[in-house]
Amino acid sequence: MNQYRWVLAVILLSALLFSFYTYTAGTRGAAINREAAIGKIIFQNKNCIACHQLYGLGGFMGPDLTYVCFEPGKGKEYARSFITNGTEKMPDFILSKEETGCLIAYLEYVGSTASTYNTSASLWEEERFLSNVQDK
Amino acid sequence: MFRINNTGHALAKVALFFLMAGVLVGFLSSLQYLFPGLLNHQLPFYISRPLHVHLVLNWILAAALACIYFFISRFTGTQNNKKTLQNFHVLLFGVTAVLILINISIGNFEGREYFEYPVWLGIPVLLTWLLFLYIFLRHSVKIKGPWPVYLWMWTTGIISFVVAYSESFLWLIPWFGGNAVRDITVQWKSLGALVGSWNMLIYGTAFFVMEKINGNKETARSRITFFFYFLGLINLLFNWGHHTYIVPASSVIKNTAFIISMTELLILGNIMLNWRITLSNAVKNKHLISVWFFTAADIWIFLNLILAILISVPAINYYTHGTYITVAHAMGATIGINTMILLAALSFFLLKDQSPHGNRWLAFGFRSVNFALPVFWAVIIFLGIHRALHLQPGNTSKFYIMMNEALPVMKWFAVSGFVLMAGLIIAAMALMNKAITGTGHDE
Repeated sequence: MNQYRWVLAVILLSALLFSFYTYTAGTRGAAINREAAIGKIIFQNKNCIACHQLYGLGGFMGPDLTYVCFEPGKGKEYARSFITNGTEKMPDFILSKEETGCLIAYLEYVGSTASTYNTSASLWEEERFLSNVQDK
Repeated sequence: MFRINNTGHALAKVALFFLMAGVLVGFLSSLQYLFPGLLNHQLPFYISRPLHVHLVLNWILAAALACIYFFISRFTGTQNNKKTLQNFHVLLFGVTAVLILINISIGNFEGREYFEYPVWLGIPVLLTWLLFLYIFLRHSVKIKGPWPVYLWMWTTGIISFVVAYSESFLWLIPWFGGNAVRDITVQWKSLGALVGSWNMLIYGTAFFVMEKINGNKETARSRITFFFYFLGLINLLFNWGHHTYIVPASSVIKNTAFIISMTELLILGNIMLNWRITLSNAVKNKHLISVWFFTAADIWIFLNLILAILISVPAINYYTHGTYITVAHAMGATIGINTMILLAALSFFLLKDQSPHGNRWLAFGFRSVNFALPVFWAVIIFLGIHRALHLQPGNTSKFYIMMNEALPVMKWFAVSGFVLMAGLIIAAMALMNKAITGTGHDE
């Protein structure tokens, strides 16, 4: 193994640099606000990730929630109705109005960072633009 | 005073118990897909899923630790009266695991995916692994001459577990937790490295047992073996990035992951294939059950490799990530590769006689698992493709419609899951019986 010590040293040094890069320049996005931060705690305390995903991480019983607040045909009120009433599969966690608001603020915050979900985002923006034009 | 005469045996029993409980809860969870109201009040899915994950994770970790303890007791000349630390380690491991399972069972969540339990429980987990690192190194330094690759793999596995596990709690610091993109990127990084760390423990165990079965010390000392070790280390440190293709993180991370890809499994498959060819029939018959499990692991490495390479291609990954195809990859790796290797190793340590005639239930369990697993795997891939089609831009059908469409296939998921569960429980009970009656190699 002695002859490989330089290989090991190079790999570990690269890993350190790569970690530093990942923690700093490799990420971007807005900072979380207070309401969304509370929502994040609720999301974790109720273990929502067991059934739902954020950025592909999580369970499969329910839909991915990364873009739920912005997706065409869904949105904040759509999410609120599920959280408030539950479904056959999803329990009603009996959250207060404020807690529900914070949870939605968190989902909205996550969605606002999801630039890779641009396909549906651009479709939604286009739809909204067209309906605004028609209204006028 | 809490005293264990044989640490390896004690941990092997604990591991086999976790395996049986883990697959049972996993089967119940799969039924909840078919019957949404099932056990909704007693064991809702948001509890049964993390419970299943933790039981299975504890199976993998406890079995790997058991095998390393077998190594310590048989090859480093540890005296029974110098086992106070080992006993304390096993006690700490067991108590922490039970506390985690209790907290999950009562729905006391605080953490994140895979570490949902209250954050303070991370401290005893870390202490368990730091203590094990000390115990392992204290005994391993007694080995004379250059270390074989499995000692390097075990050391790397234990250290990287400590580092990656600590990293998975960085979200507690606002700099990390307060930025969604940084947060999820670091979470994928730590989880990827954690999987790599227990893979190191398991592959190290595979090399150790292979060396002992074929008696050829070159198996764990050759250049190709060390090449594989370094490739595994690189994968552990950099390959997690393929999970971030859909995260708006830096493209450098994604490109690095794609370049490194899944070469690790190919090399291991190659080594194991060469190892099997070099075995004489006499050696094969003497350790037949272990050879069966290793052969099954070999086949699953190749099957999983094909899937892994496909889902590492960004254009495919864009649609398949976050679908059941990721689950198929995880199941293929956890059951097909990791569990097969660990059962091969435990068979080596716990069985004196490895003939199928003398181990009929174990052989039956092995055949049942390897009959059901391909069906289970194929069904999950099918469900993944179905979900990927649903997620395509422009598809406006609702989530529940997609789930209802998948119900007929879900039935096969449950049926094959039942056979898989039964096979694993039968195999685990057969090994548990040997561990309890003490008729194994290590006595």
